[in-house]
Amino acid sequence: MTAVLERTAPPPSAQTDQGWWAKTRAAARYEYLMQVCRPAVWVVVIGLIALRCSSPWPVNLGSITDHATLVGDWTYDFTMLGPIGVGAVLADRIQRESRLELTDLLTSTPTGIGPRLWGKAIGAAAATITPFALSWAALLSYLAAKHGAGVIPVGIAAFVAIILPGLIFISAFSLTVPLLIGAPLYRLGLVGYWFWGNMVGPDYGIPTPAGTPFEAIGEYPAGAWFHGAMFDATERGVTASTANAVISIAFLLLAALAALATTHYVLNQRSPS
Amino acid sequence: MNQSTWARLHLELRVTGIAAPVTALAAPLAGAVLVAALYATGASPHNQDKAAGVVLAGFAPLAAATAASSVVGRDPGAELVMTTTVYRRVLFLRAGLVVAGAALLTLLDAVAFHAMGAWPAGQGTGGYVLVWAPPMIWLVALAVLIAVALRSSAAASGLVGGVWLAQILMAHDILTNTVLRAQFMFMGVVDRVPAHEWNVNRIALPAVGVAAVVVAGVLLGRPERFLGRDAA
Repeated sequence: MTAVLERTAPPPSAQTDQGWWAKTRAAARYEYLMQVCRPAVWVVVIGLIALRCSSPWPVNLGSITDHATLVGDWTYDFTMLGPIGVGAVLADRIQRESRLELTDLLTSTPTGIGPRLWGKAIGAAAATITPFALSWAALLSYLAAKHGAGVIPVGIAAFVAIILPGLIFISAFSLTVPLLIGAPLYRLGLVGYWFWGNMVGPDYGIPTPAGTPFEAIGEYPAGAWFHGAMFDATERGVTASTANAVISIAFLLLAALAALATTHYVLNQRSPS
Repeated sequence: MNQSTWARLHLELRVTGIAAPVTALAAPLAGAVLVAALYATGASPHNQDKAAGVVLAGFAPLAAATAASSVVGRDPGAELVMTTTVYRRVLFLRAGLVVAGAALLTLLDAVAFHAMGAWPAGQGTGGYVLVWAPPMIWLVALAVLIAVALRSSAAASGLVGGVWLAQILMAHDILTNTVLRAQFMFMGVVDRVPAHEWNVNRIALPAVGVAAVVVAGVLLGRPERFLGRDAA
């Protein structure tokens, strides 16, 4: 009994690092499989994309022939509603173990808080982005049939530069903030933030990040690199440039990293071990 | 109400937890602060009117719907509850308790906004209820139906959140379609709505809401769907 309760000596540093990555990869793999099998993930993400695409924006989308502008403008029909779905289905992931009363069991395993948190973030976010990516691939197939195969590489670049940073940003906050305020309040706040922070332009007289590089809808990369429509930024009299677009993407990715790193630190502090 | 009824309501509220009531009350409370701040800082009457309308017709129903859907599927002792009472009744009671608090606070908001002169254009005192109650019934009912049908409060809150925002972003398309116009929840904020369209809209929203609750009730006739599974 005593032998069972005794802690084993910590492994050498190199082995620890290797173990950390292996555990994170394993956690990410299982989190991916658990999340990608949830019907809600597919129904919500594809449902919201389809809802916005039922009446595409901007209204002249059908007459655009330039490949970059075409995919740049189509990204808005994916990012106006889709990220709300991504955030909503990720918001219950961080509290899942405690809800199922598995926290003690997981704490007793050699996998630490870090690999579980980062594995969850990578796996669950990747799984939730999967229907998003497949929907985008389906749209690119349709556009390629209509406008030629040249749309496909531009479309992939648009996904990486415009859509993905915003989704990573939303995923990171959806996996961490509910720990503080609970999933229902977070989901309400997410809808409010997405509307206010990305679509309520400066003309409404309310302070907002909409139209600045700190919005998450991808207006700056779309405008700078894909000649996409600029709406809130135009209200501010800003013309998108490469520098603004890089700042926008960097802000979203660094904010996501900061949210996860802070959560990792807080969970480590709370840990009894 | 006798003592046992109060005890039952108190128990159900405790089982529901703190997250759902806080979510339901958050929007009307925050909305009251926002409109009061606009009033105190001397914002333009137009902006005050718009803000009051969006809080009543938009954010209060969204908060109530998100909160109501969150009570579905979070019962750790569901088997025990199902063996002693009708689960449908329990679930509707919990959702009703959460929504009742939000409705009461939204009504107080409406009275206060009207007294301050921050009031949606063209609305009389009938707007105390008609601006927010039909959209609240509609959105809450849809959220509960989706949550029950998919066994997922995540799906319900995600979809109603998206539908809510789509109603704003696609308002022009919705208002030019006869069928969709009857389901437009922000009609209380739209200027110069013809009387007959207003009446149709205010009747159609709760009517669809009642139909959604009936369907949810039928689906809850098989409560065993909620047993032994992680959230979908």
